[in-house]
Amino acid sequence: MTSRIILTVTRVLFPFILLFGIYIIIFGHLSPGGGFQGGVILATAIMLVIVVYGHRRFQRFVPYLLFIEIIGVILFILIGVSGIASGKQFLVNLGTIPLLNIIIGVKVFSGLVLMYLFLSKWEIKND
Amino acid sequence: MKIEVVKRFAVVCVLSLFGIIIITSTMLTYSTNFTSEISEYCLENLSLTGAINVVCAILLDFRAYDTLGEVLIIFVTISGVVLLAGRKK
Repeated sequence: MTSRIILTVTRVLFPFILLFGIYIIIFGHLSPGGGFQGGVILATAIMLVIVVYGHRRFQRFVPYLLFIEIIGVILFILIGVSGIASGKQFLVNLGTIPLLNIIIGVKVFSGLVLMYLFLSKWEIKND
Repeated sequence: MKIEVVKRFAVVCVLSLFGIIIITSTMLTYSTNFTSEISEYCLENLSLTGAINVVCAILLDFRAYDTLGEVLIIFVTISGVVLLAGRKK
């Protein structure tokens, strides 16, 4: 059982951690940060909620997260191919740095949450 | 009694060796000049990429293949986790 203090602090902190992660991702090309770091911060927010409320009620989000993961890889490669389509090399920069940051952030977020959800299935029961 | 002493001595030796390695490598890192032609090239052509953050410009423009590999590594890791830990008990 989680205490009331942890529940309240989680409820207060959760939107701010999400906001900070999104800020790190979107301003990745202007300030320190980037897709990977922001994605990890977003994943820690979701992990906090999973730790506090138990992982069982979050297991139904696994297919959606897998879908996001696969779509992220495909979008990254498609952006690379768009460089070829414009007559230059693969993954050439066409002003796509923020877009790539957002894709990497979403992908890292879904990947880390997926890993945590799968590994938390194998918990040791202390009851 | 004697084995305990030997064990403690070995632990102290290993830890002090580790500390010496860390300190010397840090000092070597700070005293070495890393500016080469590549870093100067990256700094000079930063305005072409459209990004102010140098790390982001290198990751997503100059070394974008590296980032593609990183993305694929995360994807393969997730595939392995799903394959190994995703089955029903």
